[in-house]
Amino acid sequence: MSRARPAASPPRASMLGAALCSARGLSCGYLGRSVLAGVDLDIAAGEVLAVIGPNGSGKTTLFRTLAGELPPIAGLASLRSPRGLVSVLDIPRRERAGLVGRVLQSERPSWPASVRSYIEAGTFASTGWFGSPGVWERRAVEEAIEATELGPLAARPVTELSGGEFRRVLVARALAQKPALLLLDEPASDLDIARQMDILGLLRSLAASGVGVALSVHDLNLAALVADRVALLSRGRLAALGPPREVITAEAVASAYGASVIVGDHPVLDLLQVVNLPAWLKPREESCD
Amino acid sequence: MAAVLLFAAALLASLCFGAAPLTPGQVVRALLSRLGGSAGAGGAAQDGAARDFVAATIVWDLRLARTLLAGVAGAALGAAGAVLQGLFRNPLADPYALGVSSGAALGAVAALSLGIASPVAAVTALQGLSFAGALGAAALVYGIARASGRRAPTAALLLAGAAVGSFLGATVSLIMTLRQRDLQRVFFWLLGGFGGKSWGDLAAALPAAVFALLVSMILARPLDILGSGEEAASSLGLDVARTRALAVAASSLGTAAAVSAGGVIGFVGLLGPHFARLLVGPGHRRLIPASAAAGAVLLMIADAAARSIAAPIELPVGVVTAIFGAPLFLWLLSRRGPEGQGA
Repeated sequence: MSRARPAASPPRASMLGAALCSARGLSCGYLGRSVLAGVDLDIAAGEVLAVIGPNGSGKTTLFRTLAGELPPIAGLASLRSPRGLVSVLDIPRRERAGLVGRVLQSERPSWPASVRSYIEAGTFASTGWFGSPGVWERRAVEEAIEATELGPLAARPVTELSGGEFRRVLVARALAQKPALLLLDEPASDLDIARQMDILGLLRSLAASGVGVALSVHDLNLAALVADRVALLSRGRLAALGPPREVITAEAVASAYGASVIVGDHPVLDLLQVVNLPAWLKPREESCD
Repeated sequence: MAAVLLFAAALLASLCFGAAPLTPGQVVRALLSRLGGSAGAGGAAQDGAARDFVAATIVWDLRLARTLLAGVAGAALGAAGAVLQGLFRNPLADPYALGVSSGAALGAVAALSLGIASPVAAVTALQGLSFAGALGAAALVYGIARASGRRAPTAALLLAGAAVGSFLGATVSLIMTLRQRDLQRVFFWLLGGFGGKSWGDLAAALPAAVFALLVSMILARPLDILGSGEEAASSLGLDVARTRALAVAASSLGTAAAVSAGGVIGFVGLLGPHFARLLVGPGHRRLIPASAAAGAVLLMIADAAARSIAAPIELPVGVVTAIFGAPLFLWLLSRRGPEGQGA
């Protein structure tokens, strides 16, 4: 390992803008049953925030609450609107859709609509029930198609796309909303490693263009790869928040997941790398090294 | 445009068939004879074409009203099917998924149980109560689904629809068993038919059907958005609850209009949207009117077939739609794409 590590490609932390979204003392959950409590969190323009945590730790619940789909049980969730930071509950549904775009994990299309018309649904917030997409909306759709490189697929039925292609369509539809903030549920799950790198690369380039990006992710190495900051949810609270190296430690992973890992250095890049060390596998003998 | 031509062709063809077959030329002459007003009618008499006069009577007094009524009922069922398939995001949903048919049947049974002597009043009561029963069942189903407090009220709608439908259906069977005197009348009413329907019946059904179609058209873009799923649609800015309420109201109103006019006619509301989806694709802005047109054409053809196949005996039109509709539906299913998502 004599090769020098190139610095991580994106210029990080230096270009972070104003908070697009803010949680203060936020408790969220369903019908009074709290999943997360006491969350203080800002998401800034131009950053990628990875939200990690075990199954059921509240990643999706947090996104739903930040997007205003789920009313907070306590505390405040606010979004940056033209009026400044405003509580999500005080922003009408359609205005909200222009501030924050979501990509859901398990969306399935019902009908074989074309890719372009599926993406066009992202303009609903600006056209409403009766309007049809005008010049502004059509340009938003075309820009979204261009940013996600879906041009060649634009006329294809969404029901015939592969998992990776459809995930890009969902990102494109969220972009057509022209939101300042994107919340993505497990955008890399169910994808092969090349498609995972495609979608994460797309998220990094969106952040470089000034969008605030938050994604939930299970694979800690992907989190370290893409994120400027990592938020670890564990035991009903925000257990840690900061740069990947500060949050993803062997102790934190053991405490949150009950999993034994080694956190080392990426062999090539200036990144951390997480290696599993399950109890049912014996470590190699020293002599084998 | 093509839909209008198809509609006109089906209307013309439907007017030709029946116990006394007419040629298309006779039908067109008969239609024109009275469109010219009283002067035109006088002209026809002066020509002394007695056969044309008979044809005009058959067309105007017997066939046109019932054929148009079949068209209106078919259009209402087709549009209702498209709206409910859009709401449930399921191509197998039909206008009766919310228990509307059994509600209408219960209303009809109740009307017959009143034992009204006057035939005109009896028919009015039958149509009125079946209409009320249909809407009542849908309202009950909607209320149950809302009160269930589940996080997926649309799924609750389907389940409540099935449960309420079975319950009301069993109630109808119970009443019919206890009052066997009315058994046959209820039975034939349920099988559906447009025999003996008049301009008055058309006037009674038209307002609800037209209103339901207009509300359905308002739902076109929301139903497109809903195709992404409820959570995604909500994050796109759609008020899903309002969409759901309007979709239930519009489809139930249209279905109630159709059922009270012609009985419980199956497959039209299922097949109409499937044909329409093949022709114009899945976008609801074109799919809903196309489904209405397809439903109208299907039911007018079915009504013509019901009059002609075993003439002079008239078959129940619901029997015709089921006998021809079921195989047709299976054929359509076999054309679905590998994802099982196609038309």
